[in-house]
Amino acid sequence: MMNEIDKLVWPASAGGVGVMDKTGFNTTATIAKQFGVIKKAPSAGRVPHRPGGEAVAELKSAGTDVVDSGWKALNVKVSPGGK
Amino acid sequence: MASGQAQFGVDWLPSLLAARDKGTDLVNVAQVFARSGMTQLTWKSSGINTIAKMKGKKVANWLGGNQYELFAALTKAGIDPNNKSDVTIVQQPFDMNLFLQHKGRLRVGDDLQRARQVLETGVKDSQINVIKMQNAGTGMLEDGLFSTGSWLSSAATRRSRSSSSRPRSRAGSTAVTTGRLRETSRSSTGRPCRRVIRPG
Repeated sequence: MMNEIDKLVWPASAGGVGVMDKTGFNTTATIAKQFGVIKKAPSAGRVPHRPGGEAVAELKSAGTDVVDSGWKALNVKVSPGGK
Repeated sequence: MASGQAQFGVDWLPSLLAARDKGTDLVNVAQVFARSGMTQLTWKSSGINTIAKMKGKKVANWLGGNQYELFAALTKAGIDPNNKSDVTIVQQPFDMNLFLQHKGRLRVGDDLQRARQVLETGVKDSQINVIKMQNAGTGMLEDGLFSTGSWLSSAATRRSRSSSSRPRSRAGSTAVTTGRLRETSRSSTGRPCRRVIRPG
């Protein structure tokens, strides 16, 4: 289960885990606008996210890999009852 | 969140954008998931292997803000999710029992549910179709942490006021008590369960 969750998190966006990826944000906003989830596109000057840049910067300076670009999912064979 | 009882929550980005679009002052503070995981499962025996073939069928979804990717994909395929003569949307709990009991033709889930809740019951991968919203062209960013703009402003003020002798984590020490929190946990049986806690 965590292996499946990991796939959604890693590798993280170029800015580091938790930092909003601009492309991902723009794609989401575009699709949301196109299909009526939102009426108006979020204005450029008021992007509704604050990158967790400070926390990530601290981790970076401590030598932590915040992107893990080489991450690969485990090959987990799922069996009935988890046995 | 809105009542001030919680300072942080977890929401999918399109849901957060929708709230903001209506004027709610929610701010994403950390985007945890970097890619869309929303997946639709169908029984291979149903012959439904595309979004377009969901026309006239029962399609289950968690709803509550998690439906936007699916609804966009249906709309894109010419199916109006709000029109019962096009498709019947069924609200599904955070388990896959409806799917497993064949009570509907289609179930939404994601890969972790496919792995844990469907395949673990003995269903074979060869028995199900996996339709990813990402591949349907309507994948959007999902789980992210959010707070309110006003709380963040006041937290920043508190922090700048605090002296160096007071750890700055003070502002962030408030526990999450309620809000649109979605969590993944395991029950005593080891089965995963996901809960949505909504403010009143």
